Amino acid sequence: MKKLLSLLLALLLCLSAMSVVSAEDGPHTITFMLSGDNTVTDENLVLSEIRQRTGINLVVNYISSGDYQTKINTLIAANTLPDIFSISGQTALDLRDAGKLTDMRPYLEEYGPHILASYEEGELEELLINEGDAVYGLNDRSGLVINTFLIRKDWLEKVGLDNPTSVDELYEVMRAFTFDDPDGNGEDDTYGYVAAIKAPNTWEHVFSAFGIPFNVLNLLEDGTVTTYMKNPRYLECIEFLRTLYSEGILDPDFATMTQMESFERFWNGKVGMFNWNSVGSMRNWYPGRYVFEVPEQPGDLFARIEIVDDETGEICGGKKPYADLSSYCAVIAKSCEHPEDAIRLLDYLYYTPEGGDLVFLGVEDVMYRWIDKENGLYERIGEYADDVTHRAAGGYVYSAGRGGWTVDNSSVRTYNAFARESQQEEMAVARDWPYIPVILDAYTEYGTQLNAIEMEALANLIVTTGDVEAEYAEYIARWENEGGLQYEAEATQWWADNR
Amino acid sequence: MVNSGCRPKKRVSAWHSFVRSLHMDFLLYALLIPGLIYFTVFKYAPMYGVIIGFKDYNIVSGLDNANWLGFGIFRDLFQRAAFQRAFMNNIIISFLKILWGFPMPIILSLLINEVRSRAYKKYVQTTVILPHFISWFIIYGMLYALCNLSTGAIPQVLKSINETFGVRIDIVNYLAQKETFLNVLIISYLWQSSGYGTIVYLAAITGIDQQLYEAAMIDGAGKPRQMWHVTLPCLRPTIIIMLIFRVGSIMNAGFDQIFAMSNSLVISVADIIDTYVYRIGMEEAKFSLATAAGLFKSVIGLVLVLGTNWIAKKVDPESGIM
Repeated sequence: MKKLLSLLLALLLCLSAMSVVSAEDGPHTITFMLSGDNTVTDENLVLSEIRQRTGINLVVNYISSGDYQTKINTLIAANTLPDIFSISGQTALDLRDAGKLTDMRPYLEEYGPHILASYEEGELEELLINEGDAVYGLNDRSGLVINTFLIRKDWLEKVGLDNPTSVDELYEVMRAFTFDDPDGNGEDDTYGYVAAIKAPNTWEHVFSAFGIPFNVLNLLEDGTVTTYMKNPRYLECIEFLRTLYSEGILDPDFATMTQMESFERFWNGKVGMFNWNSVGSMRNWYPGRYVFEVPEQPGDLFARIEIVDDETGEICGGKKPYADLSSYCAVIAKSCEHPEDAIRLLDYLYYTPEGGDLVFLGVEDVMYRWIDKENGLYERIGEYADDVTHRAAGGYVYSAGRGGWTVDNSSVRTYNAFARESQQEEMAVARDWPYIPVILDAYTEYGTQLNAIEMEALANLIVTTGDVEAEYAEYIARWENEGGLQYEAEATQWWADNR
Repeated sequence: MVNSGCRPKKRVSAWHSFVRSLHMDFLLYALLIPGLIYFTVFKYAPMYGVIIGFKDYNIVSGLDNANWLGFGIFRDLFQRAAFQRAFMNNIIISFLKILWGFPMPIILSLLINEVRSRAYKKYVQTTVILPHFISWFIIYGMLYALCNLSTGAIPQVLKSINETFGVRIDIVNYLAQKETFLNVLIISYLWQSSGYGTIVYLAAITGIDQQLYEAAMIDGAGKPRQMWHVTLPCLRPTIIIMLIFRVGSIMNAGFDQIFAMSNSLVISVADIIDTYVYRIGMEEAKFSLATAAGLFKSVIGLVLVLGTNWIAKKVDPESGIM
C-alpha cells in the first residue's frame, strides 16, 4: 500500500512538473494591475481579443479606485509586484531608487515604437520618474479633460430664465430650478445645485465664479502659494453656498452622498445644472443613462454656463488641467520576466489607434461599428448598446486613461460635436493655478491630512450655525499646524524659483 | 517525632509534573496544538512587526535598511492634533458603547429567558442574533436609505407629519449632524451586537441549578425576585469575565462601523485611532506612524485588562481570567 501511495505521489509530481514546462512553452503571461469602478467579468471578449492580437497572455487585476493605493502599498511591502502597474508620488521614486523598476529605454525602439513616436523630443525626460536617458515611467496624457458646468435648456425655458452669466443670475436660476417645478411633474423634487464632498469636481465652477481654483494650490497676491482655503474670497464663496444650503437650494445630502449618487441626480432629472467633465455628461452617459427623454444631439438639451466674475470681468472657466509630470505613471516591475512583452502590450493598447479602440470601444463589429470613422462616429451594437453589458464584456474598463495614454486617444477621437466644442471653449477660459510638477516633501508627509482638513472645513462651514469667521480661523490654524505652513513655504519657494 | 518512620516525600519538579500530566492526558494536550499554532503564527510571530513603530520604515527599502528612531515616532504621533482628536473620540465612543452596549445583552438574555413558548423563544433568539451577521456597509446603506433628506424614509414621514398636523418638526439627516451622529452610532451598534452578546449569557443561564429557582419559589419569590436573587448572582462570574474582555478592548471603538458611516461633517466626532491608522498607514503608506499608533492602543488595552482583572480578583477571588 505504501509503495502504491509513493508511486502515485511521484506520478503527481511528474505531471505537475510537466504542466509547468508546458506553461513555459505557451504565450508569456503579463500581469497588469488597473484601477476603475466598473463591473467587468474576469474573462471577457475584449481580454480574449487582446490576447489573440498580441499573443500575450494578459492577466488583469482590476481594483476599485478607492482601494488601489492601499493594494499597491501592500504589494510593495510584500515584494509581490504585478508586471505593469501605475504608481505615484514619492513611492514611485523610492521604487526606482531601490532598483525595483525596469528601465524601458533599451526596449522602446524595438517593442515600443508608437510610445516613442507619441512623445516630443525631451518630453519623456521631463517626467520626474525618468533619470537621464533611462525611462522608468510613462505618464498619462489623456486626462487633459476639462470640467464644464452644464445647464438644461428645457428647464431654463420652463422657468422663463436665460443661461446665467453672473453669480446673482446663477442664484436666481438655481432658486427657480428648486422651487418652480422645472420638470413640470407637480412635485417638489428638484434641486438647484447638487455637489458632493466625495465628488470634488462638482464644486469647481461655483468656486471659480469667486476667482478660486478649487481643491488645488492658489497663488495669492503677495506671491504665496497655498491652499485654496486661504484665497481672500473663500469666505465669500462659503457665504453663497451657505445661502444655497439654508434655502434648500443645495442638495442637503452633499456630505454623505457618493460620487455616483451625485451623477444619478443629474441623469435622473433631479437637478438641472451639473459640474463635471463634458465627456461624461454628454458622451459616456448620453443617451443611455438619462432616464428622461433626451434629443438625439446633447447640444439640443444642454448648454455651457459661463459666469463672468464681477470683480475681474473674466469668464470663470474650469480648472486648467496639466499633463501630470510628477504623479501617476505606468511602470514595469523589475521582477517582470518579459519586459519586452510588457512594453509591446503597452505600446499596442495605449499608443496605437487599433489598440485604443479595442480597449475603449470593444471588439469591432461585435460590440460596436463605425458609422463615420474619419469623424469618430460609431454606434454600439446589440446587447452592447447597454453600458453595463458593454463594460462587463471589457469595453471601456481597460482604457486606463480613457482610451489610451496619448493626447489623441480613442476617447478624444470619438467626441461628439458638442463635447468637442465644449472642451475647446472651456479650455479657452480655463482658470490657471500654480501647478508644481515635483513632489514636495511636505506634501508627501502631510498631503492627505491637509486635504482632509480642507474638505472637513468646506462641509462644516456650509452648515454651521455658529460664528463662521471664527470657525474658519480655527480650520486655517489647524491646516497650518498640521504641516500646512511647511507645505506652503516649500510650494512658495519652488514657485518663486521655477515659475 | 511523629514522622520519624516515614520516608521524606520526594519533591517532584514542575517539569516532571508537566511531563507526567502530558503523558496521562496526551489527547487533551493534542487538542491544544491547533490553537497554539494559530496563536504562534498569527498573533505572536507578527509581534515582531511592532519594531516598525521604532524605525524609519519605508515599504520600498524594507525593515532591515530602516534607521532606528526609538520613541521619536511616538513623539511625532502624540504631537499631531489629528491623533489627539482620534484618541479622545476613541475613548468617548468606547465609553458610550460599554455604558449602553454592555448591559444590553444581559437585559435581553433575562427577557428572552422568561419567554414561555419554546418556538417563540427560538424565533426571538434568532431574530436578535441575525443583525450581527450583516456587514456594517450594508447597515450604513440601510441607515442612509432611512435618513437621507432627499428620499429617506424618516424625513419623508416627518415631512408628512409636518404637513398633516401643521407642526414644525426639524428634519435633519441624522448621519450628517455632529449632535446626532453619536446617537445613530450607538443605536446601530446596539441593534447589531446586543443579540449576539446574549449567546454567552443564555448559555450561562441554562447552567443554573433549577433547584435554586424552586427554593426561591417556595420562599415566595416572584419572577422579578428570582431574576434579581437567583439569575443575576449566578451570572456574576460570566458578567465579570465579559466585562474584563470588554474593557480590554476599550480601544477598539469599531473600525468597520465608523469607517462605513463617517463623513466630512461628523469626522470631528467620529475619527478614531483605527480610522486614523488606516488613513496614515494604508493610504499614505506611513507604516511607522500607523504601527506606533496601533502599539500605543494595544498597550493601553493590555493595562486595562490587567487592571480590571486585578479589581475583579479583589472583589471576588473566584472571578477574573487569571
